[in-house]
Amino acid sequence: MGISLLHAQETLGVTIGVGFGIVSRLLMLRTDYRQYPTYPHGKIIHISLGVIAAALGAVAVPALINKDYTAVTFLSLAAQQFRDVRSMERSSLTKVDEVELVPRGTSYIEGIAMMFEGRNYLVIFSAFAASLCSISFAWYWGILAGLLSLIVSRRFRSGKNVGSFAEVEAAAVKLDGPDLYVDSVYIMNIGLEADRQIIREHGRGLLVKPRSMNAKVTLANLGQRQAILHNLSTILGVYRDSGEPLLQPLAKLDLNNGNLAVFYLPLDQNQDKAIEVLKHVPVLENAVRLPSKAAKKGG
Amino acid sequence: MPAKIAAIIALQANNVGGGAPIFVAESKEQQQQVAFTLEKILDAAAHELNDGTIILVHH
Repeated sequence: MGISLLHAQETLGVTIGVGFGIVSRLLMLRTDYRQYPTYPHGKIIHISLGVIAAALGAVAVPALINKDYTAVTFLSLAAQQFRDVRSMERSSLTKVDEVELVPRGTSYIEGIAMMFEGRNYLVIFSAFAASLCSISFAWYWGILAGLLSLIVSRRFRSGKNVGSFAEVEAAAVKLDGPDLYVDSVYIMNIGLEADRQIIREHGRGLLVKPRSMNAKVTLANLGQRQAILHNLSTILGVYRDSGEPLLQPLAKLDLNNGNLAVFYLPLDQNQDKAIEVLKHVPVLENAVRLPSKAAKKGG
Repeated sequence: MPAKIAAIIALQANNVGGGAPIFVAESKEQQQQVAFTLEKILDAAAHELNDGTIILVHH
């Protein structure tokens, strides 16, 4: 009788765990401005993997309680599986990037791929927490733990954005003969009068002013700049085509003060919207540098 | 990939020389026109070096 009761509780716990795991994956699987995953097949892949992750997390608890410690090695199998997810995302996004008018850049792709892997671990965590609490205490504690874990995963879902460490303002685009400037920062040399005319009409400029030393170094990262250009062009549209090598959004640094001058060619000319878009560009994990922390430690 | 000059469009032929194909234009308008066409054909960026010389560069 005792044994069957334990089994019933375990089954309930695993079910609650799997349920919360799947809910957590669904909550984190959103089509946002990155436009990915948009298609049903991309979604199906990630939901299926989420179900597997949830099952692994939930089942780990009864395995541990029954002192079946070798079962934990399955988790390493899962880790391997999710690393594959990461490389799958990386290779498919890299392929897609070749035909983008304004590419994402490798740092951004790496960031997205890492995020997909990370979210699967959050699913395992949710399932594990819900399953552990409902098996060790009672089913309602499991549900509470599951809800808490959903809040935690929501917090981890998105990181910081550019607006959190820099001011963004509109800046004037100037053409001095063939030389193109945004504010006082030199962008590039435009040889064709036809291109200059298009830039006069459609070119817009933004100035990103970092608030700290750390922000300066992060903004200087080429991957971070490419991410900014990609997001601006994806959301506001881009006045560009193949065979137009000069109609290209560019971001250049003002070396004197670390400001980033962004030149872009939007279809939607609303500057306020552009400022908002730029503020919401995610800070890439690979771009973050913390020189001020290193200095404090004396290293 | 290092940048490479794909073509030069000059107003004065004696101002330029070297390994890249050189096109001599008679007027500024013609120079702009040749540069425009070549930019589309070569998918190379046109840069104005000085008043009278435009280079097409593969970046």
